Amino acid sequence: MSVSKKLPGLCPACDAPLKVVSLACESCQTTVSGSFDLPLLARFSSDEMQFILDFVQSSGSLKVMAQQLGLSYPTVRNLLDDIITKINNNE
Amino acid sequence: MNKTWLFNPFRYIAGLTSLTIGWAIMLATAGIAWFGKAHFDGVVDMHSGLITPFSWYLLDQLTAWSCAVLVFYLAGLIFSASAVRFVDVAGTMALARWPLIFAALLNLLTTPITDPHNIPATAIIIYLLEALFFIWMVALMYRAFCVSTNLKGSKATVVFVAALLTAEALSKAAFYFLYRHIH
Repeated sequence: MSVSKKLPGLCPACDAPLKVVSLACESCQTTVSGSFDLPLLARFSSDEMQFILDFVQSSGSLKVMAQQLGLSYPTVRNLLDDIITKINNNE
Repeated sequence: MNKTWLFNPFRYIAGLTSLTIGWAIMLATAGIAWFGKAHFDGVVDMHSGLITPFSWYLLDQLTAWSCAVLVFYLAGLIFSASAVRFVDVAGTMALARWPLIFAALLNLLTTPITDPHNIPATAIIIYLLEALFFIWMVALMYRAFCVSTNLKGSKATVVFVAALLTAEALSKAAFYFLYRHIH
């Protein structure tokens, strides 16, 4: 049985942002080691990632998203604003 | 009924939809208030006993709502980093007044107080129950303000309280002016 694992963005011990220290090729078993930053989008929660995907798929229309999610327009706009704030804080 | 619908319906309804529903309920509240001679003469005020034409009861609703919308919209523009839409503030503030229909209905059970030193116990109970509906309305107004402006936490609370007091003062001034000039 395959288990779907979430990519952790923060250290479970001290909440500091985690780094990527190892990347592996499943084809030839080559391993690359180092210290790489997680991509910005990988630092979002699964709900936030889904919101970003929905936003792109609805061509950036908050009205369409509000209808699809069954939420009011300002609620959806607030979710977007919170993600923008998170992006600005992470940059 | 889902708790969110009772205390934060604005998660699901805002803008023109909530404005239309809110106005319809305000119209119904004005009608019931007319029968019970209850004037909603402030953003968070109700007084009974003054007999006036029906148009005054409508004016009560519109004035109280307009004062709240004006102040909370300006507060949102000043203190929120998000884009605040007027129609969201207007719509959510209109719908936030819906518990007042119950206060107007309860008022039908009372008779005007003629002697302030001799208030019947049943009237006191009814006034306390009416106060609960005003508290519910204020809670809804707070959620309406937060959803419309995307303000959160202590900043939202401080700005909301200041705006509510300002709106109440503005509405009292507006009613003082209106009641003097439409006699």
